[in-house]
Amino acid sequence: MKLPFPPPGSDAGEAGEGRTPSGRAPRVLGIASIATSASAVIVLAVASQVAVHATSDEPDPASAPIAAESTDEHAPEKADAVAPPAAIPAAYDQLAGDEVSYVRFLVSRSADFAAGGDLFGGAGLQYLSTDVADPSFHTDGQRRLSLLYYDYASNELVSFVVNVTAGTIEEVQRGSGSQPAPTDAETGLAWDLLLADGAAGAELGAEYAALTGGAALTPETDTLELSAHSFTTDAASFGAESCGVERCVQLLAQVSGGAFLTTSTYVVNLSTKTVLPVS
Amino acid sequence: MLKRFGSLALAGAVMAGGLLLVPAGAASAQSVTEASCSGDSLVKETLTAGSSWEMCWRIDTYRGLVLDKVAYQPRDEAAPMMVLDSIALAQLNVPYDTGATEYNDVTTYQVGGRRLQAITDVDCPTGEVRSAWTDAARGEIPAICIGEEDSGLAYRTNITNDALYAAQGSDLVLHTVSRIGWYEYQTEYRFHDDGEVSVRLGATGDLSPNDYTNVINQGWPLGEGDTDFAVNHYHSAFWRVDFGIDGAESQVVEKFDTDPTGEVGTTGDTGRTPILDTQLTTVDTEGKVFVENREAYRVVNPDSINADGHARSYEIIVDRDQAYNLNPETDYDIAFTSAKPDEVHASYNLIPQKANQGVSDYIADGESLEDPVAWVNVGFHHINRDEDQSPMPIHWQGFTLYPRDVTAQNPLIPEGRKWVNGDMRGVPNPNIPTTPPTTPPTTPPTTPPGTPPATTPPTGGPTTPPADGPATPPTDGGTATGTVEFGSNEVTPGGTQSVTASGFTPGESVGAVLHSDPIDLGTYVADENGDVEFQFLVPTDLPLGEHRLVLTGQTSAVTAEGTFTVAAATAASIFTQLGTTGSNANVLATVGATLLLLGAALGFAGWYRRHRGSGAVLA
Repeated sequence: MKLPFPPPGSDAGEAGEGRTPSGRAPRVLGIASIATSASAVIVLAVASQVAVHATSDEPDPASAPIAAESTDEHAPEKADAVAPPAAIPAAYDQLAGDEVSYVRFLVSRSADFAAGGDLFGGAGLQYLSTDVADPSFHTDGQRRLSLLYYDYASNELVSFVVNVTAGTIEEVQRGSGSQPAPTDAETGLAWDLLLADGAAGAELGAEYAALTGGAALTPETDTLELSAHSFTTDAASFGAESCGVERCVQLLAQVSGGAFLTTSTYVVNLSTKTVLPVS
Repeated sequence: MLKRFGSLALAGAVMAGGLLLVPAGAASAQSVTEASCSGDSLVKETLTAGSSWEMCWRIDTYRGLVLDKVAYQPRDEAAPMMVLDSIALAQLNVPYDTGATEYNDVTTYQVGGRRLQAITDVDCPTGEVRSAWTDAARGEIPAICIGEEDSGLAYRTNITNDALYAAQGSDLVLHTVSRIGWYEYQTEYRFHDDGEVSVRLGATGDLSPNDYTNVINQGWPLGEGDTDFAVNHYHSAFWRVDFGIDGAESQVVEKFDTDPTGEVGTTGDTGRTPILDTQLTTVDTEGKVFVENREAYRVVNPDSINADGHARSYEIIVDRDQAYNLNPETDYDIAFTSAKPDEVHASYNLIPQKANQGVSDYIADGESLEDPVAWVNVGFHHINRDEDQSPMPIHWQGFTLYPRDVTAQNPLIPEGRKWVNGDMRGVPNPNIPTTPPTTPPTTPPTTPPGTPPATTPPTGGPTTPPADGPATPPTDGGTATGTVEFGSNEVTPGGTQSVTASGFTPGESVGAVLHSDPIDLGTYVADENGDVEFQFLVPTDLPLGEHRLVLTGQTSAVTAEGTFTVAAATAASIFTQLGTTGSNANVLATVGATLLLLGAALGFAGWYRRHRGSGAVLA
């Protein structure tokens, strides 16, 4: 595949200067003014080459957050270009943010990515996670990361092994029936669907009101801490038999002060965007 | 007696450690672990006892803390030895006894990623906090606590008239915390200074607020009287342990099985002590095992041999009868498979080419075991208690990896016990002075004028303490009130140094530590005069130069210290050493030569006197 940037090891100055505003955007979230951003470009370019992180207001791209979802506006998957990381970590090193951004961008340029469908019905796979691909099965010392995406168009889990050192995708695998933990976007959409469901919305609204002295529960309520786990049907679950082959989640909603709303009686099928009562 | 100790001690040193023979320079080369990771990902820690551990750590989105290239360097070894290629949590299965709920936290919730908690002061009161880039939304957070912690008594043996050999131990501890729903889990690895590894998962947080039942037999009443039965549940924690003992090309899994022969001995208290037979068999193919009574498993590297000629191995120690043996995902204590890149999770595998598979699927082809991975399942049935309400006291489950024959002796052995290897019946303790019939044991031998003592080496240096006083003054502002005298101001590596110290409370234990790299020389008991006498072998890898010996009375807190010099072995000093610490043969030869010369001189004198005498007569 053709890369917009040469693999690491080529001229470092070119890589540093190659950071375009759109490629850099996720790393400067929270910086309001354009003027600040413009000056930060220079600082970042210098910082990335001389590794003087402490003197820069700009977050270190190796340690800063990036857009968590492939469907976010500033996602690496939506960038026009993402430079290779300034430094390639050793084979067994922990993750660095800039290499995650880079490999997600590389995956987004593949035909496998473009052919997939995301959570919201758009084109492109839904990003789940990046991890170090077990280095013990290689002897060349090169840096390899393993990425998981979900294809809502085919209900398949898709994995990519990307060689960061070479800047290439080495392996693509697809399989069905395996449902990794949901992302924040999946959790948020499941919650919106649950509240929009007549029966579930009414039960949760009443429980929330009782806990908060009558406050209304809406999708905008921000005093809740949401988490979720992927749900695969089992012998004890009636009503969600297709979960596992399709991507379903069960929510946990913790109200300020610690109480949890009763969410265990519902499962949200994200593949079909339906709320399923389970028993 | 000095000579006898010397010969035995030298023999002991050779028996104790082929280890000591490795050149010290080898340690300066980059280790496999150091070559595998860098910066904050590399942990390299030398514990108080002198042994060290090194490893690479990272946070996996699903499995949480992953440790790779875990290597152990026993105190007296010159280089680290690989133990594990990798270890990490592989699943956490939590089914509730009502059958209504079951979680698989590693794959369906995540233990790493967004679930990993930022480490706070209360999580890490003494260790070092290091950061990791855990998830896109948060970037880098303080993720792990790494520190040395006391582990209590390491060993203790009170040898009559010799010393109380005892020491405290310590562990290198790494831990992370994950919040999964209402539960919080602490993932912990303890690397002991003696090579043992404790692997544990702690559960705290809150009991499920959603799982109460009115079925009495499926829960425990937490409310007043017989109300609010919180549902009992299991935590089955699985670890994937990829062994790499001493960088093994191939490793073998062996099963220990101890069975009664049906025969009994007749001399015990009961008169029917069973005679047991321990068989070792090789586990050649992939499969699940239940560890039954008097069974154990180990992973051996047949090509890695310790100084006694025994193959190095690690044994897997699990609690028995804890597995949740009701589903194929959880119905084993240990499963052995050959390492594969697409077999990562113990169940509900997230690698697409083996999507949703688990250990039962991995072993189905009955492949032969080449590069063995152990899947260790530790179950814990939690029958709730009143005490387990918020915040729930942490409860632990885990297993131990136990070194078997990694070193030929206790890796923390004090100098005074190094002579013990194997069956030493009939071998006198070289640390105990053999009392000469005419000399009181506490009196240093004095040299009668004019008599050449047989123990004085012909070319030896001074063996008496410095003339400026018996006590060497403390080197810093210490409160030394005791005195130390050395047998020799200068010794060579591998030689023997003798020590006489006084000023302690009669009968108290006195610890001896050599500085500056602290080396525990053991604990000795002060005699009725408050004196301590002992000898020790100067370690062969002790740096040249001045060394300080500090003795501390464990009751009186009296300290005594003094310095001596370790000098490179010269021809003269080797002769000296042979004279003072060498084999009996050398000493005998020296004595013999002296006697021969003396005999010849006497013979000549006699002949001369006889001839002069006869001449006189003749005259």
